Amino acid sequence: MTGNTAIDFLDAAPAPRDEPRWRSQLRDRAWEHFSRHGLPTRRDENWKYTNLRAIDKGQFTTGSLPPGETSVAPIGADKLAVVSFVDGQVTQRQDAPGLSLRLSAELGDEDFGLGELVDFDTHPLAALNSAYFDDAVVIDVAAGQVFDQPLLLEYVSTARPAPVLTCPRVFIRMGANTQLTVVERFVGVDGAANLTNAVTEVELGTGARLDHYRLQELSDSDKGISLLRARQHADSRLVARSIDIGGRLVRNDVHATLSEPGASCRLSGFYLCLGRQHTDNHTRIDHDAADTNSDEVYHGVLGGRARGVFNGKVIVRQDSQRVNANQSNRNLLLSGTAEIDTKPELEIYADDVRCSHGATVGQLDDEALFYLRSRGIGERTARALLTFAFAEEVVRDIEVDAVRDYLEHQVALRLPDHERLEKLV
Amino acid sequence: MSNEQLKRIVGERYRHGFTTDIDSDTVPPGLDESVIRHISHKKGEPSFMLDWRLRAYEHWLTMTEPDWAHLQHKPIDYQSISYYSAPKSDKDRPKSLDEVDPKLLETYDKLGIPLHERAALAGVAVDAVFDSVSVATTFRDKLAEAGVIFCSFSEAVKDHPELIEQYIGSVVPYTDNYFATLNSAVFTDGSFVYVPEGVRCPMELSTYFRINAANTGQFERTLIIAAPGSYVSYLEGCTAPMRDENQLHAAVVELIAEDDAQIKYSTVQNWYPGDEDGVGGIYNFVTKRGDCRGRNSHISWTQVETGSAITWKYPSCILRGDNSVGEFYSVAVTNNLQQADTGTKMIHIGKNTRSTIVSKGISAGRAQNSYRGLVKVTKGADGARNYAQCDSLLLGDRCGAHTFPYIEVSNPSAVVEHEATTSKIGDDQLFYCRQRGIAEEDAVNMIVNGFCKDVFRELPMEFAVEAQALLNVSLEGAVG
Repeated sequence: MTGNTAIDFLDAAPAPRDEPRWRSQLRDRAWEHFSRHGLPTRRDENWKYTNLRAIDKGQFTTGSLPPGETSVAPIGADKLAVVSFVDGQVTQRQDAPGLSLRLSAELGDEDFGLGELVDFDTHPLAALNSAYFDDAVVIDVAAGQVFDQPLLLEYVSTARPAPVLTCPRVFIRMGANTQLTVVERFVGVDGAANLTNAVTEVELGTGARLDHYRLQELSDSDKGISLLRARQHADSRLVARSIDIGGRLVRNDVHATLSEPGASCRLSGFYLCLGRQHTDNHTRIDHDAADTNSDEVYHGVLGGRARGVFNGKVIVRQDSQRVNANQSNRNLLLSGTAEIDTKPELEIYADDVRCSHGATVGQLDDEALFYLRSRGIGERTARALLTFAFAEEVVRDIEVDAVRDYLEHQVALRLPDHERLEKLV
Repeated sequence: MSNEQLKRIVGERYRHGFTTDIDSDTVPPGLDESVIRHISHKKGEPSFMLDWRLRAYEHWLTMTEPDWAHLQHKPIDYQSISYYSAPKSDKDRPKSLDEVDPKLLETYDKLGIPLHERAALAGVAVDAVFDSVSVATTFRDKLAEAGVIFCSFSEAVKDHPELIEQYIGSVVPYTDNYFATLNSAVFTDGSFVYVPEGVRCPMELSTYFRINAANTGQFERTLIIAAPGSYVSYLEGCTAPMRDENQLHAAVVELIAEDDAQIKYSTVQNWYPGDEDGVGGIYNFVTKRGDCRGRNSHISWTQVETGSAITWKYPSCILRGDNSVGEFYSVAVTNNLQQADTGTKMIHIGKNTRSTIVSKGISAGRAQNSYRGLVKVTKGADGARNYAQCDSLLLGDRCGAHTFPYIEVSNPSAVVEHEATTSKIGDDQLFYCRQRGIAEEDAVNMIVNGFCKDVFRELPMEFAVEAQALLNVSLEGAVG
């Protein structure tokens, strides 16, 4: 398959190398799919509101390159373990006692099922990732292991003469009755204009609990695409939180399949889009078993010439009885040139269910504004304060204190009058 | 409730299934330019009408059938449909009800809607469409006195060609979508209403559509124009005889509301839904759209959809005029193997425009019921306000209820709210009623009627009664 450059925005087809069999098989399958279908277009219902022309017209380098210059503010949390990537290269690694954390090269020929959960038809860019990723992070949590501190996976995109494509890949296998917190942080330095296309696969065993955080602070020229794909066994719980405060063109997908009774998930998200940012969040919760529950809250703030997209799909399969599924998406439009396109969907084939969704688009509450102003707070500050409060409805649920404090600060920084705002809150 | 009981009640047969044997002047199946020329010639249309039809046909040939709806059906063979069918007695059209073919009147009697009785009692002028040609029109004089034009579409083409030429296709252009384009090429008849400036139409206008001759697709076209400051309420009701082959129905309805005008359009649709195994039934692919052109104009759609094997229908409002208002109230019931993909579009363009959407879907048997809607607020639509509520009720564990609302907002002063719920009748609700001595079946009725109340109360009185009766036939007690 060498020399196939049917895809114009990439400098080269993925090159086979000295690698285990599972890797080359996955690569071949993925590349076959991607070179046949290419990037999705707006004619594809799932990409109706997000145009990937900016990627298609770009030129991205795919080979391994020395990492660029970085200076990224650290998150001051006590960490269980850390792996840092800069432009796709591992630059820092700190293992944790008791936690099996390996890079794919260290796995040898062991076929551990990476890629099984990802369907290229549902998410075409997962094929691109599967064709190009180098160092997949593979985490195994043995039955009964409980970790309190968060594992941090950090991906840094730097300013380079030519933009690069990086494909972070993570595979988390959680045994029965385990507990783990993972923070995936995507961050870009000023001037970075790369394409980060991440895939994280998660298998939650019986009674397992995963807290997953995706923090996206890419630069305002960066393009970021991500997929979190989870399969949940009986009584497992997934809490996935997604915070977007950066990036020029961002698309995130979360697909959770509740495949056994008792499984539940909570998805929450906050997106702040200013300037010319475009942020698209797609979620898909598939209730494939009876007695499964889900709830979902996404809040968005859109200003400048930004565009936000939300699509939340809930599927309840036939015979998946006694299902509760709730979803809410609220959006705040701050400027006359911003746009929001939201589409909450329910697809229900069982009858003993309680499903609901709500979506709103609106402005700050005039009465709340008046209340603040009557107490001597200037309009600018009052608006910033109420916007911050709207973000807080999602951000405050973050259970890792250091991450929450960091994000609150980052959100405030992006609002007008932030010094006064931070004094007030 | 036991399964047996449930089956018995859900399995209640379609009451309006019969055909009236009248000689129809029917064109052989198939569609090409000559069929269109034939239809146009038969109807004695002016040349602009024929040109328009032919342009539509040419465009139709370049289109492909849409497949995005949550529907499954066998491909439709457009060449096996007969595109024109008129009752033989076309030449000497009746001047009054007495002259109407008694067999026709008999048909209406079987449906339980005797024309004169109904007209006299309810003060409703009925423009009865039997197959494709209007055969009876009443209360003409009274309407004429008020200056209201209410006639069949073919008559309007002959008597008021200037109005037709001005308005036809101005809301739903012939290029709009596959089915509307087909309709534009081959429509045979329909209704035309023009309410002049400042006139409040003195009575509710009503049309009964009824598909009759075998294998005849019915292509209705309705055009309602409300001049500045006028008001009209239009009722449309449908029943169809039992038949084993699928029949295609692709209607187009265009509403135009000028400054301060109001149009209220109500539909009760009860076409043959097919039998328990999904054999037969009407394919109902309808394009309905209202254009709130003027300031302070108001268009409201109310629909009760209980029939048809497949319903594909999105009555929409284009809120172009400042302060204009669009409303959509819908009850869609599907049972057995019926499928419905229905909803609305509210396009906010003018300033301070408001829209309300209330959609109630009821799904039973193995039916699939989808709500699909779009609320779009464009950049200049300052102060736009939308509220949408879509509730689904599931009766049985083999049916489906789906919601696909699209919301696109690009104005920061817009307030858009969408809510949707899906559930079955709660055991607690049933228990509450049972405990107070209400039989299970009555309790279910009560709860389902309560579920639909928000929509029924938007219907004109006589329709509300019919709607409740229809609901009972379609569903009564379909809950265990």
